[in-house]
Order: sequence, then structure tokens, then C-alpha cells
Amino acid sequence: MKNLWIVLIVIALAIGVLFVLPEPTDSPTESSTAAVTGAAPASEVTPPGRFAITNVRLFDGARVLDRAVVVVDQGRVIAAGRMMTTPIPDGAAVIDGSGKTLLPGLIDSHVHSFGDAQKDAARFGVTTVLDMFRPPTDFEAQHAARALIEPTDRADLFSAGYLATAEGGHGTQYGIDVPIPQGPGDAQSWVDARLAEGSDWIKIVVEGGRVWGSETPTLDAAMVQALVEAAHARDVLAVAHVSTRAEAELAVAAGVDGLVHLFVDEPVEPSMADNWAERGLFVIPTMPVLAAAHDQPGPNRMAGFGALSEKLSSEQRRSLNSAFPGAAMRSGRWPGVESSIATLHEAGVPLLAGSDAPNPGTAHGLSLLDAVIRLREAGLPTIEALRAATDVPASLFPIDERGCLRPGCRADLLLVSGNPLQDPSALLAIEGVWKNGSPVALETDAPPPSESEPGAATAEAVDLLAQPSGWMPSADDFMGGASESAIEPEDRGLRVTGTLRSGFAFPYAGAMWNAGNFPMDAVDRRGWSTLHLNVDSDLGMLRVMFFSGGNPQPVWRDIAPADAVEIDLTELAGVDLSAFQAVGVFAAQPNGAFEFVIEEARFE
Amino acid sequence: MNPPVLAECRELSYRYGATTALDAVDLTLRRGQVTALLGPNGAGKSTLIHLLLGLKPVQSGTIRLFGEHAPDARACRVRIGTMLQASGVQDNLTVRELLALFASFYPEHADFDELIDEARLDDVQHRRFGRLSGGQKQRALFALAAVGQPEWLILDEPTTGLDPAARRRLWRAIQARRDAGTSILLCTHYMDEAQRLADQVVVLDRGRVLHEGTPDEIRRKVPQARIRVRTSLTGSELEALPRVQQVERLDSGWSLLSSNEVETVRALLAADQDLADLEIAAADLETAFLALTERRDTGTESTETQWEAA
Amino acid sequence: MNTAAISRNPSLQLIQAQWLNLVRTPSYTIPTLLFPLMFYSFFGLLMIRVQALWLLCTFATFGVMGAALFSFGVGIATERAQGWMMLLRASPAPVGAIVAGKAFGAMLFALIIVVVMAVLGATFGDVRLATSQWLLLTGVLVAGALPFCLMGLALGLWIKPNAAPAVLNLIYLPLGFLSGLWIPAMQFPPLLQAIAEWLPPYHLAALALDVTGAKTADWSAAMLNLGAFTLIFGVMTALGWKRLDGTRG
Repeated sequence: MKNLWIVLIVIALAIGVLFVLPEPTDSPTESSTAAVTGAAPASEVTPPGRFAITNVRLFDGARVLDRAVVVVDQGRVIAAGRMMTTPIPDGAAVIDGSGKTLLPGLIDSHVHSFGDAQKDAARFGVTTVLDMFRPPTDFEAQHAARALIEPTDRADLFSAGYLATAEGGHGTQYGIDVPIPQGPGDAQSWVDARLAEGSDWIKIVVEGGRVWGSETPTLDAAMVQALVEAAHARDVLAVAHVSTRAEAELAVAAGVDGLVHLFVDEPVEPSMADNWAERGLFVIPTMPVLAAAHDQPGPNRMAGFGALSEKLSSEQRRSLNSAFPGAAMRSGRWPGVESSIATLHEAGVPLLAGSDAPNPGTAHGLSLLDAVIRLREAGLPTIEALRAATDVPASLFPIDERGCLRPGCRADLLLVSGNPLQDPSALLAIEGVWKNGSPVALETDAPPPSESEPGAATAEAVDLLAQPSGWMPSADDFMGGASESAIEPEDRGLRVTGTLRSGFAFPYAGAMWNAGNFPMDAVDRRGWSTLHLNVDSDLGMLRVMFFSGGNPQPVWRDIAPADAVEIDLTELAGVDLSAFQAVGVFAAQPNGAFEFVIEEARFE
Repeated sequence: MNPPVLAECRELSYRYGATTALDAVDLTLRRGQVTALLGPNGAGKSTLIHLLLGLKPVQSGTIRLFGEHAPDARACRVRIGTMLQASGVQDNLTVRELLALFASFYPEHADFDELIDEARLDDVQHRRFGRLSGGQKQRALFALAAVGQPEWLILDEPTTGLDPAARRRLWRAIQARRDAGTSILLCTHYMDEAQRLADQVVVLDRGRVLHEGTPDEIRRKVPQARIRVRTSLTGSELEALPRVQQVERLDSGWSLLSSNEVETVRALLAADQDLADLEIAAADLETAFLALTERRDTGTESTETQWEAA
Repeated sequence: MNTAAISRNPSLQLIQAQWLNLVRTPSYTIPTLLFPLMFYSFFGLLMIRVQALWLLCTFATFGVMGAALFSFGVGIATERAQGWMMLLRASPAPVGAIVAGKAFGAMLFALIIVVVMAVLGATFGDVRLATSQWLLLTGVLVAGALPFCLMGLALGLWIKPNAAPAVLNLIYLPLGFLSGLWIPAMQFPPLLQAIAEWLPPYHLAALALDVTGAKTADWSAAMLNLGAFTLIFGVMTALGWKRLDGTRG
């Protein structure tokens, strides 16, 4: 009988112990689960923004984990690790990641972001873009947006703002009023002005134009050095645009932190690569734009492109379908480009994936995926190629909390189906994108071009001469020819002067007017029917070229400059008014110096 | 004169697969009596006990206990105390704890101390069952059967493994309960036990009831002694002697099985005064049963006549 | 409640008998208690401390399962061999009380295992739960011992007494592993995951995990599985009991 009492005491003791066991504190970082008061298991309420992706292959920017789980709450990653060792808190919606791979939202280290670029990038898993030249007009808003962790469908923008270039140098041809540094003594105030505008680093242009068949003014070594020192004095990076080896050497010698293009006139030599590695120099090879410029197959060569291409916006399509002038002539140099990449990688130079979108042959977002794959094609191990779009830019540029999936990082996530580490084309099998922990719609509202309705879009009449900044000189030197031209607004109109030389198959030189905000930007001008032109010239013939629909081949009409001319746009076969890019007035023959004045130019 | 009926079996049969353990057994047990089920191993005694206790389902035939109940109902069991051939019991409980456990199954129980004293388990009453000697275990098992003061005690081979003194004490315990009105069913293969204790003996062999009756009646049917002798009498003359049940020719003479050796020897001496090498020994049970069964197998009329005459 | 009345109640006596039996058979009791505690200490506290809560739930399930399986399975088989079962069945002891006494023993063990493991987890594994969660976890696991008691009972009635310990061990460890009690089933390849979801220990562990908030579970699926399992083994027990009647001894 006493034994029964013993039994009762044991039971009472056991239950009593349970009352004595410690309860959780309120700290959310306990290794146990979130405290649940009340006996109801499996709470029905899911705290907004709390979810976990389970049983997924995880690439967190540095390493790969199989069968992992990532927990997101309030826009940040709060846990990431193996399923077995990472608890999933109460109320987290569970997304099964079996058979999929989760990466940090990717970083495009070289873009020019206008319009909906940030949205387009995000839809393709690129959640942070490093812009290398754009006006600083909305930087305040951009800075505010990227400081928050609010739901958004745009990639975070970091930018150089205005680039530093020489008077008339590369960067000034886009019609953007670029402030020009006046001399080494001006460097510091120039840099400070940029930083005041909101630039996150300083971009310096060293571009002589040789590679592209022209000659452009460029900053000299002293100026570059002054700018670099000024930037470093303010603790910001100084990066350089170069296109030749000599320019690269100049920039590196001046102390820049990184090159935002790879020079292509010669392959990189191992000794130079070693030197760069020692200096800690980084390089953004921008292989997608280089590939387009070297007549290489574009993103459509990648498996999985077909499905993904349905998600392209019309702007992405336009830039993707644009041809890079003169690409065919450069295709022979491509193996050298790829071997340069390999040399740089072997030497240990940090390489960053950048697309240089939206240059011809590239598209925001998509081309960054292409950039990663191209790095792999050039010889980098896949994980290094992925790090080039995550960990490496995050470690070099001032973009905290991004490019990583450790606790504390922003919940910028890219979920793809399959294993990109074995099959890089899996990067295109996008299953989901999250920015700041909220899902980004992958589809775009824009209909594919073939579905655009016929109809009267109203396009207003435009006086081309009313916006002198819409004009830019344009000649076949851009295409590898030898002609040149210059423009100057006058009271009468636009004076165009230049020299025609042999070189290009169809020599031309003159002026081009862009319909959109950015050179070759396609805009919908379906209401236009006529171009009124009145050009004063001694030349017997002028060629009017219409660029539209992303077609590198313009549609042209030759005119006699004597009288005013009306060109019926609707009769021109091949002009796509729904994607109108530019119109140009050119001298085409004979060779020699020429001059004409556009007195009237009007679209109606 | 006949005491009231305690239990009845009619045409009770039981088979394990192809083996027939009980073959149409008819049995009547009466209150207040000690009934001994006598038979060799494999006779079906345990099977019959199990059926009476409801440990096995009735396959064919009927059983009635206490006049009415089905054998496996708790109402029956609570009036019965059982001692089975269990090789083990809860080895971890002490004698006293086991008594308390079994006592709790019954509405009333005997005094533990008295039971322990009766079983001479005073010194080991707090020892765990597993640590008792074989004889102590048997005595403890009897105490467990008796603790509920049942109307009916069913004991399966209760004195197996007991030394002679212990056997006699157990017999006294059984008799004391019979005198107090308890009915007892006792399985045994000891003839002397059956003779000493039983009011009624049922002889079972190979699932059939061979004989039923008082011990005296049985004794007359069962060989008590083996007589060896060298004699000039013929086999048939020997068979004609009183109480002779079996005659066997040996190289050195004759072997007689007799249910009463005194009568047989007296007649033998009278018949042959020149006999020699007379030996008289108690018949062992196996021999006795062999004789019984052989008799039954041969099924000769003479055999029947012999027994009736005896 | 006077003490005399308590001692006269067959169910309480059988419970006490079972308790004494357990207490006095350290060779059975100690391994059954220590085995899961040792494993938990090793895996949950030393090696993978971050998962102390998860492993608490799964190893407690493992321990409860073992306590139930062995106290019934091996116990009954041994007792069959000894003839104890026969003696009990011949006595007026109610059959229900016999089974209840054993079940009580198993559940008591379950209680002790869960509580000791909880103390270990809280002390060395930084496991923190609300008191209501501790109580509910214990309740779920102790109640969850019952299906496994039935399983052990069924097996104990069917398996030869000599073979019982070996057979039960052969079932116990793989069943525990395949149910995801040692390594979470989510880490298994898909085929093994599918198998795990059919196994009752998986579902009992899932309920334990749900209560502690470590992982939400589908209560209806778990209860269905455990209920079906209980039914199957209930039938096997009934058949096995009948079979007992038919055997010699």
C-alpha cells in the first residue's frame, strides 16, 4: 500500500517539475521558438511577411548549403541554415523549396537606369543595381526608398550620378548636361558637388574613342589622379570607364579602385593581372555589352530563355533587340576577351558581374543573368560567377545588407528551379523573387509587341528644333568609318558641319534627333504621319534616316535639300511608329567637308 | 444423501489440432467433497481444469458451474481459488504482496498471518517470490489459492516438489478446508494422495474417464502390488487367483499384478505349497496404469468379469 | 479514501504490482529510461545544441514508444512463459484491470522520461517553453504511449516468448529511425520521407513538435494515423488473446 503512495508522489513530483521549468524570455533571438501563451497549437494567424523557404538549396553569397531553410520576417532574413539546425518560428508561412535553389537577390554592377529599369531588373531577380551614369534628379527619393525595408517592386539603386569626363568627351553625347571638371584644382569641388547631389561613388571616364572608331576628348592623367584623390579624400570609391589597355593603365596608375569595363583592344597579360591583384583593383567586365559589340550570340542562346522572354517588357525587348553598330567587325576579338577574363580570375582580381544595360543587345535584369553565365563560359567556376553577382560587389561597394542571406541581411531573394551550380541555365528558371521580403510580380503588364493593338495613339506634333538637346552629332565613325560631324544650334536652326571620308561602306555624317529620353530610346509615336523638313544646304542630296523598332538598319529617304520636304511616314515601309527611336539628317556624298543647316524639322 | 452438485460436465471434448485431449468426458463434482483427478501425465487433467476455469473455450459438450454460470464469468471465478502448474509468477513481488494482490480480487480474504503460518513461510514472507525454493513456491501458491476463502479450491498437482513433511502438512490443510465446507478438486498422479484425501476419485487416461468412485472402489481396481513367484501353477490357474489383474511369464517364473496382495498370496500359498522365490513389491503407478490401460485395450470380457468379481 | 479500501481495489493493486515489478527489475527499467535520455543528451545537448527543442520532442517520443513497447511486449511474453498470465486469468482479476495496470506502468515511465528529458533540455539545451506548453507536451506524449502499449500487447501475445526481446528490438530501433525521430524526416530522400509519413511514431512526434511550436502539424492527419494504428493493433490483441486460450498452458 505504501507503494501506491510512492507512485502518487512520483507522479506529483514529475508534474510539479514541469511547473518549475523556465519559460522563455521575450527576446526574439532565443534559440527556441517564439513564446506561445495558451494551449492552442498551430496558430491560424500568419504574421505578415513572416515566411520560411524550406528544404531548399541555399547559396548565401559565399557558400552552398543543401536542405536548408531561410526564414524571413519583416523584410529581413532572420535565420538561414540547415533544416536540421534551424528552427522555424511560429506562424511562418512555409514555402517548399524542394528541388529549387535560393540565392540572394542579384546585384548588377554596371547599369544605366532610366524609366522602369529598376522594376524590370527586379522582375528578373536583380534586386540591387549599381548605376554608372545618370542624372541625379531623383536621388533623394531613391536614397529614401533604399533606406527603408518596405515592400516594393523596384531594385535598390546606387549610382555614380554624373560621370567625370572631358569637355565633349564620352558621356556628353547623350544630351545630358554633364558638369565638366575644370582642372585638377577643381577636382575636389567637383567631387563634393556630386556627393551633395547624392552620388554614392565617383565615375571617371577615360575614353579616347579609338576602339569605337572615333576620336573623343578625354581627361588626362593629372585630372584623373586629382579626381581619384578627391574621391578618396571623401572616403568614396573612384571607378573608371576605359576601353583600351593604355587607358586602363592610366586609370590604374592614377589610383582608381576599379574598372567598370574591360578593355578589349588587347588581351590582358598575366603580369598586368598580377599587378592589379596586388593593388586590390576590381574589374566589371560587362561581358553582355561586349558580347553584343563583338557580334556574339545574345541571351537567346541560353536554355530557358524562351520561357523567360515572355516576361520581358517592351523596353527590355527594344534594348535587347537593338544591334550594336559595327559588331560584326569585332567578332574576331572575342576569344581574347574571354581569355582576359580567365587571366584576371587566375590572378585573383575580383570580378563583378555587370551588364551595362540598356545598351544595344542588353536588357535590364536579364543581361545580368547573362553576365553571370558568361563569366562561367569564360572559365570561372559557377560559384565564383554567382559570387560576382552577390558577395563580391557587396564587399566592395557601399551596399550593406545586400547580396547575402545571413541573418540580418535584407530579404532580397531569388528562387530558381533546379541547381544553377550544376546547370547555370537554371538561373533563368525563375520561380520567385522577393524584395525586402515581399514577393515581386514576375509578369509585366506590357503586351508583347505582336499583340499591340492597332489604333490611334495620339502623338503630339513635335518641333524637333525646339529641343536642341534632342540632337546629337552622328557619323559613321561610330561604325568604324572615318567621317565626322558636329552640330551647333543657331538662331536659324541647327547647323551641322563635318567631313565625309571613305571608310565606312556607306559614309554618312550629320545630326540625329532622338525621340526618347535616352539615345535610341524607343517611344510610341503612332499618331505621327509626316516629317516636315527644311534644310538649307549646298549639297545635292541629303539622306534622312529613320531608326525604329530596334532595327539597326534605318529606313532612309534621300532628299534634295533645296525645298521644304514632307515625308509621309506611313508610306515608309519598315518604320515602326510604335517603337520610334530616332531620325537623322545626313550628308552622304560626296566626300569632303560639308555644311547644312536644318531650319525646320517637325513631326506631325 | 448425495451432496449438491458443484459442477457438471457432459460429453466434454477438447482437441488441440489433431490431438484429442478430452474425449466425451462426463463428470459430476459434488460440494463439500475432495475430488481427485487421478491419471498419468497427458491424461487430460490440466485440460479439464483449464476448461472448468474458463481458460480454454468449450469446443464441444457442456459445463455448468454452481448450477448455472458460464465458466469464464467473473461471478464464478470469485468463488474459486486456483493453484496451477505455474513455473513462475511475478518474481518481483514478495509473498505478502502477492497475497495482498490476490486477496484484492475477492470480496473477503483470510488472515495473511495465519496463511503464512500454515504454509510455514513466516521467515520468507517478505522475500521476493523469485528467490523462494521450489517447495516454498508451492506452498506460497497454495496460500494464494486459499487467500480468497473460496468455496471451491482447484489444485493442479499441489504436492509436486514437496518433501514428505511438507506434503503431509498440505494434506492437513486441504482436509481442514474440506472439513470447513470447501469443495476441492485435486489433480494428482500420486495414488496415495488420492487415497488419503479424496472422497471421490476420477481416473483419467488419454482423455477418457476410466473409473469413478470412492478410493476404496478404485483401489480394488488398481493393482497394488507386484508378486513374483516360481510356481508350478499354470498361467490360467494363476489368473484365477483372487485379485489377480495381470499375469506375466518371466524367465525365472511368473509376475502377478494384484489389487490386494494379501488375498492373492494367501490363495497362492494354498494352491501351491512348493512355490519358491516369492517376492512382493508395491506396484508403481506406471505399472498400475499400464495394467489398467492394457486391460482396457484388450477389452476382453474376461477382464471385465474379473473386475466385477473383484 | 481509507487505506483499507485502496488496498482492496484490484486495479490499484495491479497498478502497484506493476510499479513494484518495474522498480524491482532495474535491468529493464534503467535501460528503458536511460537509453533515450542518453541519446538526447548526446545528440540534442552536446552535438546539435541548436536543435535541443526539436530533438527533445523526437527523442521523448522515442523513449515513450520504447517504454510502452517493452513493458508490454517483452513483459507479456515473459509472463506468458512463466504462467503468470494464466494464473491471473484464472483468478477473478478483471482483465481490464490487468491491462490497465500494465498501461499505467508504461505511462508512468513515459511521464518520467518526458520530464527528465525536459529538465535536461531546459538546463543544458536552453529550451524554453511556457508552462502550459510543458504540460501539454507531457500530456500528449503520455497519452500517446497508449497506441504503443497496444502495439506491444499485440506483439507480446503473438510472438514466442523467447523471441520477444529480439523481435521488439528489431522493430523498435528501425521504426524510430524511419519515423524521423533521430534525423528529421525532412532531411530524408523523398522515398523515405513518404514512408515516414505512414508511421505512427512520426505522427506522435509531429504532435509533440506542434505543441511546442517547433513545427506545425496536421492534427487530423496525425490523429487519423494514430487512431487507425490503435485499431489495427486492438484487433491483433483481441485475436492474440483468443489465441492464448487455445494454447497449452
